[in-house]
Order: sequence, then structure tokens, then C-alpha cells
Amino acid sequence: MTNAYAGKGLRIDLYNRRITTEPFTEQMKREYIGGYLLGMKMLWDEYRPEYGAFDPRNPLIFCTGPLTGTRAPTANSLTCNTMSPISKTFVSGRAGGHFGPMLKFAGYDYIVITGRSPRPVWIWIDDNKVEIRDASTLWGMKTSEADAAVKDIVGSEEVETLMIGPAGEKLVRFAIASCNIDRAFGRGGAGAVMGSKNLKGIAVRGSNNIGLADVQRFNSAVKKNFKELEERDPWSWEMQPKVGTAGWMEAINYYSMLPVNNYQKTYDDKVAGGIDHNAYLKNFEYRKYACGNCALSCAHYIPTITKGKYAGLSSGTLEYETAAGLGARCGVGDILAVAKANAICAEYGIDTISCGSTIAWAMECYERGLITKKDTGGIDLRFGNADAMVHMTEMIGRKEGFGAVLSEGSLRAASIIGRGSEKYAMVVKGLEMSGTSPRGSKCGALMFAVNERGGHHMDPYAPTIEAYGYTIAEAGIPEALNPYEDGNTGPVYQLKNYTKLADILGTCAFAIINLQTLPDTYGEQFSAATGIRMNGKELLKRSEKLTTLMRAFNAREGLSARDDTLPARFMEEAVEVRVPEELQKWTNGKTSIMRKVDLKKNLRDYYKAAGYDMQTGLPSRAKFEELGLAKVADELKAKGIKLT
Amino acid sequence: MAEGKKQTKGMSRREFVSAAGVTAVAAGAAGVLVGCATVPQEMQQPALQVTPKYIVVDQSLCSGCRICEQVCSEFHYGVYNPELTAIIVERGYGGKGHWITTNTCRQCPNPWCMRSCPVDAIWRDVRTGAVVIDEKTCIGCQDCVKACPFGMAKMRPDGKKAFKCDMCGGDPQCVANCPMNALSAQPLMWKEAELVGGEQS
Repeated sequence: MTNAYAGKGLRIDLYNRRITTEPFTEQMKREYIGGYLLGMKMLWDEYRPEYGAFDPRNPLIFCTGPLTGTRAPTANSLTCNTMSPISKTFVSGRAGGHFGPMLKFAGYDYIVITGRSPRPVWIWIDDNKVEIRDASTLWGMKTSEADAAVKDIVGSEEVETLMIGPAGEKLVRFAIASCNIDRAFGRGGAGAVMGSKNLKGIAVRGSNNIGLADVQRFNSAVKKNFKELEERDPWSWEMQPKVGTAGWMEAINYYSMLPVNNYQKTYDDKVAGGIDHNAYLKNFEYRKYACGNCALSCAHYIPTITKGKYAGLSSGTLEYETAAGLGARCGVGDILAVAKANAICAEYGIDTISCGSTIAWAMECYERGLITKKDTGGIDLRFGNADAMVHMTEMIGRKEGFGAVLSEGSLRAASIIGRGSEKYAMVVKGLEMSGTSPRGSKCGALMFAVNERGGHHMDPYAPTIEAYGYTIAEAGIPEALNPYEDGNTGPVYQLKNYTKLADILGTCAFAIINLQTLPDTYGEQFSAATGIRMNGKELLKRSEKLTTLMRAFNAREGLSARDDTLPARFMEEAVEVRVPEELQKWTNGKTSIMRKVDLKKNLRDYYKAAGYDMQTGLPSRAKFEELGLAKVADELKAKGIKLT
Repeated sequence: MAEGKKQTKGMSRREFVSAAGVTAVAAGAAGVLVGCATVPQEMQQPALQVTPKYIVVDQSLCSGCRICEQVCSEFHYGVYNPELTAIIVERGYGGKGHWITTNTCRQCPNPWCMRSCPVDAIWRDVRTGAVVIDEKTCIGCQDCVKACPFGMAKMRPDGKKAFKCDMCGGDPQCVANCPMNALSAQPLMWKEAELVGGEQS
């Protein structure tokens, strides 16, 4: 039967240079669908807590979803699961671009890479021909150089690449694996894991068919999905192609969620004004660049910067998270400096969020006298010092000087420096928080605290949902939420499971982030594409399974409810939050409030809705069984973790 | 039919156009134009029933999402395959600079592919004006692939048959589905003496 699955996976052992394929069975498809869920399942099976991220046995898993490579809106995902070198838990990242579809066209649903090669290698996948090739000439190259070199070696431009830069080779803990330079597995350090395996990258070219079980039905579902995207979120539909996520800067500052000066303030008009989309449009000529099958086209590239001291520099997209990380968080309101740092991050292959966050941590420590010029090598690391920020970014990429300390990530750098600097490391479960301040949104605060991956901004992107008052009855938010009053956070659990649908099915978060695509539309597309009948509700069960599996993985790693927390700053320091006019109904007309987060209250309601135990942060054994995870529950029991 | 083609190759273009017209009228008489019985005499004179169109790309609007490629292979073959598309999004990004060029068939007035075909499998569809390849007649010799100056005649991945843009029978799906509105079907510009084809096999 033709369906949207390629039907097999690729397994590569770099140490033994063994390449095998394995069938992706019907039962696995039905139970684990694809994407994160499939990746997590394999990670659960193949990773053991005693390994550690840089152990050769740590599997590096890339999965596509069933919709990847079809023309469902934004169906271009490639997901990555592995143990994270920076956080206390796993990496679970997705990248857009064109690599995911191409991998499927080559005939593989997933790749699992294990072992460490004795010498630098890269992997060349050309339909059935898979080779492990010598990468000694590529080693040390920046991502764009490596990409070009690989295309020269294979003699074709119709190749998609996934490369690490020098930072990944040097095991900078937040190194990225970059898909065609602009798109990347950003959070959690997948690039460092690749570096630890001596794997420079993967290149793929495919010419196989991806079929559909029912073409006509699929087309009508796709049409419906497009209509939802357009009607349920007109802002994104109109603005994403124009300015991409850079357009959020103004809004997030307006809603007082900007992490200015390492989260010390929640808004700063001057800083935000220097790096928002107006500055972006004023300073740059850009060209649209879309990932595969995407009508939103949020990405751009800036061919060449013509003005200022960075003239001649070309850069990829300036995403909101990049501008918030390297800009607002470091107090830098200079879009050219941010673009320069962004280009350095892309070339060396480092995560702009963790990089910006770690520099911001160092800046705060510097201002508080915990770090001196002796530590920084003479650099004046003050908030707002754009040159220092750009310089530090490059030092981190090269892992030189003080950059070598920062390249360990905020938490480890803080333990190297000591002197009470841990207090200013804005991390959750070891991973730096991304760029929305928890004070302006209670669900935003909870989202960070309970996120299984650490300080991650996805599933769900709650701040926008609260700020704009989006609703979705199908996923438990029938009416708008109050962003300022703690408690009543139960709906976040359902919302979280709902937004994970995109990760499982292989579409982009931007198809679901503002609650555009309804679960049943996904069900319809999935059924028509694969021939496996499943409605929205059943798919949501699969996402719940994913959430539970992630929780179980964390528990196996020794994490518990204690780790579902935020840096103390958000619970202790009350900071002014401006209340925009449309949200003043929640504050009785007050235009400005002082706010800190009452996380206990938020967590209690969330745990109750999710049915989690207050100590372990895990659901009951009955829940595990209901979701078909009885074996997982058994393993937890064998580890001595009690389930209610 | 193949012999007729051989003869036309020797003709001047002017002669060919008139000959083509005659062929089409003859074909019409043979029942191809069934349903158009009330078409006035002067309308039957040109071989083509529509002004030929081809797909024009506004390269400055194209975002390189490849939805056009996807709908192309889906519409014609019911599958997705980047090698099975008659519209090609060429991309150079990453280390190779940043450019996207979307390439389409020009439906040339005097097509190289048609002229190169040894078995007469390529003709201009009178209903759409598109230059199409008859897959039953095609022997997969790749002559048209080599002949096309734009690289728009391609072999299927199995290497057995050639294919090219057929304007989806008059309603090009890539144009209908382009999210950036970068594609449009525009009338083919030609000097009357130059338009070759218009016969119905």
C-alpha cells in the first residue's frame, strides 16, 4: 500500500562503519507515528542513564514525521533526539529547511547514529547508496564552508546538508547542527554530540516517491488546513512573509515579556526599538527564504549588510529569539551588532539563545562585581556593550579565553566561577531559558518550569496565547486566560499535548503555535496520507504519550518535581510589568503592576490537571498503562521510582 | 504520421504553419472537435483553440518553498518526488551563496524538444497550447532532454520515459497553489510565422 511513510530506517554505527536498514513496522507507525515520539521511544530504549552525552553509545536520532515531505502546510520537519550535553536531560529539537523531506525522498524515515568514529567523517546518503566518508579536509571548516565543500565533492547543488561548525567540533556545549546554514537544531547541543562522534555532517539526495493513501481526501484536508491558517491567525499569515519572527519584538516588548538585561526588566522601549522589525526593515535588504512546503516563509536572508562597521557581512534570518538573546538580554539595542553576532553563531555553529543567555549571565555578574576584567581578559562586559557581546560570541565559537568558560553554558560556567554567580544563571533543568519573561504571563512561567527539555520556549508557546487571548475548545482553552493571576493553569497540560502534534507529525510549530490547525484537521491529513485511520482525539493521546515518555526519561535521569522550577529571581524579585490596554480588564484598569511569579500555585493546578504526583512529577501507573507504556512503568519501578 | 513530420521538417516555417492548420482542421473533421459542432467557420481556421500560455515566474517573489514542485508531481503522478516535477526550483544557499531560480517550460514557439523527437511523441496540444509528450509513443531516447536549452524536458527517475510541463490541461496547479503569487500563466509571445505545432495526434 502506498502511504506517506518511506517504510524504513537507517542505522549507522560509526565505530564499526556498519550501515544497516531496518523496517519501520506497521505497529510502530501506529503506536509511535514519527517525529519526537518515535525519537523519544528509541532514545528511551537505547540510552542508559550511566552513559552521558559524550559517550559513544549515546544514540543520535534524526526522525521525520509522516507528513514530512508531503505538501501539508509546513511539512518539512526533521527532529533530533539525543542526550543533551548542556542540560540535565535530553535534546529534542526540530529543524526546518529542506533536509527532512529530502531524507524521506531518499527512502528513510529516520536515522540512528551510534558509536564514535576514530577519525572525522561525514555521511553521504544518495538514495540506496549510503557511505561513511573521510572528513579530514572538512574538519575545522565553518558551516557554510563545509556545506559548499560537500556540494563540490558530490558535484551537485541538489543536495541537502546537515553540518556542524568549529564549535561543535570543539564540544561547545550548546553547539548546533545546522541544516543549510539558516535552519538548525538549536537548543540542547546536538552539534556537540555530533562533534563528540567525530561526525562533521550528513548530506542527502533523494529521488524516491512519497505516496499518499488517498490523494483526493488529503488534498481537501490540506485545503482546510490552509483555510485555518489564514482565518485563525491572520497576523502570522500576513506578517510572517514580510518580517518573520522579527516582527514579534515590538509585540513582546509591548506585552512586557522581554528579557531585558538578563530578565531584570520586562520591557525597554529603547533597546526593543533598536532591534525590532522597523530597525530590521530600515537596515537590511532581505530576501524571503522558505523551508520546504511552507507558505508562511518566516525565514529571510540578508544578502549583504551595506551600512556601518559590519558592512560586507551577510547573515541569515534574524529571528526574534536571536534578537532577544543576543540583543535585549544583553541590553544591546543595535541590530547591526546583533546581525553580526548572529552570523558568527551561524558560522561557528552555536545556539544564539544559549549564547546570548550565557553572555547576559556574565554581564550581570560583571556589573555585580562577581567577575572582573581579570576573568574576562580585559573585556568590559557591561550590559549594552555591543562590541563586547560580539567579541564574546566569537570567543565562545572559538572556545578561547573567557569564551572557553562561557562555552560550558550558564550553569557550568557559574559553578566554575562560583562566588554566588549561580543565582544569575537563568536556567531550567540546566538549559538556558529562551526569550520571554515569565512575569508577563503565568502560563509562560509554567511553560518553562514544567518543560521536560528545560528552559525551552516550545510546547506550548503560552505567552502569545495569553497575550492575544487565543482560544481553542478542542485543546482545553475555551476562553481567554488571565496572564497575571497565578493559579488556574490546568489547561496548559492539554495545550501542551496539542502543540506537540506538530512535532509528531512532521510539520512546523508555526502551523500550531497560535492554535491555528485543529486536531481533527491533523487527524484527517494523517489518515489520508498514511491510510492509518486516526482522528484528532487519538492523535492527542499520542502526544500525551510523548509528554509522559519525556517525563519518564527525566525521572530515569534522576529528575523529579523538584526540578520543575524557575530561577529564584522570578519568584523573589517583583518587577514592574506594563499592562497593555486590552489586558487591563484583568487588572481592574491598572496600567502597571509589580509582579513576581507564584510558581507553587501554578504548579499545583498543573499537576492536578495532568494527574501528576506532587513528589515524583509523574502520572499514575494506570495512566502509563492506558497510554501503552506499561514497560516504561516497569522499568521505572525497577529503578526504585514509585508510581501511584 | 512520422513520415508527415519528416516532411514538415523540410518545409519552410510558413508552409509548416499552414500545413499544421490543415492537419488540425482535418483532425477536427475526424471528430476531435466533437462538441464544437457550432464553432463558426473562421474560428476553426487556427489550429489552436486557445492562445498558448506558459508559466512566468516573478523571481523576486519566489521564496523557494517548493510547493509548486510538490503539487506538480502530485497532480500528475499522485506522489511527491523532487525528480518528478516539470517545474524546477533551483536553489543555491548555505555556502553556495543565496539564490533561488525557479525554472519553467517556455512552451517555445518552435520547440527544440519537438524538433528533436525521432518518434513524433511531442506535439502541441490544441486545447491548451502546451507542448506535450505522449508517454505511449515516447521511447525514452533522451533526445528532447538533450535538446531543451532550458533543461525542462526531464527523464523520470526510472529512466524509461521523458516528461515535461503540460500546463495541467489548461489549469496549471503550480500557479493555483503558489503561496507567494510568484507564478502566473502568461500568453506566449510569438511571431505568427514562428509558431510550430498545433497538431493533434
